[in-house]
Amino acid sequence: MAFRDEWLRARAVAWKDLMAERRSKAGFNSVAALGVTILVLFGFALGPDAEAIRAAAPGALWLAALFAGVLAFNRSYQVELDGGALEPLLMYPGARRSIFAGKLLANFVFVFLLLVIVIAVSLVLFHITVPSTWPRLLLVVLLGEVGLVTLGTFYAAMASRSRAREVLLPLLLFPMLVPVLLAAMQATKALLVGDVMHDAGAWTSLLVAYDVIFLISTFLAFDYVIEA
Amino acid sequence: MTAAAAFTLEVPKSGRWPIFGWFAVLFLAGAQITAFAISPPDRDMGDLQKILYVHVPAAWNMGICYLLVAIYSFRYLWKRDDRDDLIAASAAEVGTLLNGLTLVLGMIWARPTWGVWWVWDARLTSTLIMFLVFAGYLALRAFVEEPDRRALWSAVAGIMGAINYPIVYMSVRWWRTIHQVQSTPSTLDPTYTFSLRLNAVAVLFILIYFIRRRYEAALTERVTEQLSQAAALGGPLHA
Amino acid sequence: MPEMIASNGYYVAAAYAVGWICILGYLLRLHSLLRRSREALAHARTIGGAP
Repeated sequence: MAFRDEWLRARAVAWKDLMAERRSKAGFNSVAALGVTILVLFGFALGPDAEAIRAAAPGALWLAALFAGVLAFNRSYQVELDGGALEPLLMYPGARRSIFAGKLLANFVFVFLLLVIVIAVSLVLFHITVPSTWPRLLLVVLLGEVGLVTLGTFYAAMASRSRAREVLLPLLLFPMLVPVLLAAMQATKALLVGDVMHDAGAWTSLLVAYDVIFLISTFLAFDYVIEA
Repeated sequence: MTAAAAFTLEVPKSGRWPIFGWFAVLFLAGAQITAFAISPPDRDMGDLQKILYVHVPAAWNMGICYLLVAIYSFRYLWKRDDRDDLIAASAAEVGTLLNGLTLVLGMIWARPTWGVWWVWDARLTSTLIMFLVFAGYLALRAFVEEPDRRALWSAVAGIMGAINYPIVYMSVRWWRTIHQVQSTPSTLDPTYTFSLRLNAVAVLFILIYFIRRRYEAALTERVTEQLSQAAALGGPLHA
Repeated sequence: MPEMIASNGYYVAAAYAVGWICILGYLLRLHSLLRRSREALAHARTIGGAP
């Protein structure tokens, strides 16, 4: 079945990326260290006042994940470009979108592990108490991550193959990520303070809609991006 | 798509466009003078209302520019005609210019009206995000040299940017539940509406002139690139 | 309030000044771009032969 073939291809690409990442080791450790550093810097920026720090924690958490994640997105093509391995990869039979799906999957796992560390550190640094609604919080984190990783992986396919990729990726990606970050931050904030206004649900639906729209459009557009 | 299609491009001619340029500039000046002459000062806003005769037309025409970017980007993906790519790029540049103008004029209007230069309301914020999205689009074009790759990627980035606009608008609106109710023309003085539309048409002429001439320059550059490429590859060119 | 309207005049003047600087500035840039692109084309023709 065609779908099963595509899934197997995507899984192979993801497995290859993750193994390469695991063997290099330096990649994930330094990105995670950067994420923690950003959290500490936010702590200094927001002052010693415990209440102010707690109130700003959702924003700091997502921004730390974003800034550290950007490095991961560029890396995911960089290793192949440096080794001249992207062209051979594109020459394999089958739809190109399975390559995108594979990279997406690998980045999802990578950023998920990053988020685990970032969230664990922010729980300590920002005096967050885990609410009883933590499964919903986990859902929000995963949905927000899907949006982040989808657009990140997509724009990195362009930016990493241009001049000045370090500047171009954030410049293209951050404005596009405004809605997903806004929704993820607001939903996280609502769930952490107990959702008295009952707006976590609305933000979560917005996240779902956003994820669906951008998953479909990036899958449709990836063929054009990788072709050139 | 490179060499074969390349030589079908012709050097664009200026034709009567310089005359149209003078007409557009003079028409804009005339429209502004007319607006000043016929519309009385607003009851609430006083003379500040006159800022809107530039601000609102700039905002509308910015929308037209971005719509053109989306249309010609789709057309490029469909037909793969280099000229569509250059039109989209020209429209994006003019759109970004009008976008910046809209933002600055909005701030100049907001300061005496609301007491602050900036309000995080849905329309303002999404206009600012659009400016950043298209600044990214122009940077993408600047950082990618290979013409076919640049055309494909910027077409995709332009379409994605256009899709992003309603989503940003909705999410910022939910974030800031207080937003200004959009004033409809029926509640306004008829001379105000007329002046606004007259100025919108004037800015539209300016826009047409700008996009046409920017396209002309871009196409000339492209033809030059192909000529020198062909000359470098195999002596004098006969096409 | 006349004093308020008088001070508002500066904002209106500033707005129109910004508008015209923006439009005329882009116009000048556009024309120099057009001139340079035509010169480059003429130069390329002298090297590569007239099309």
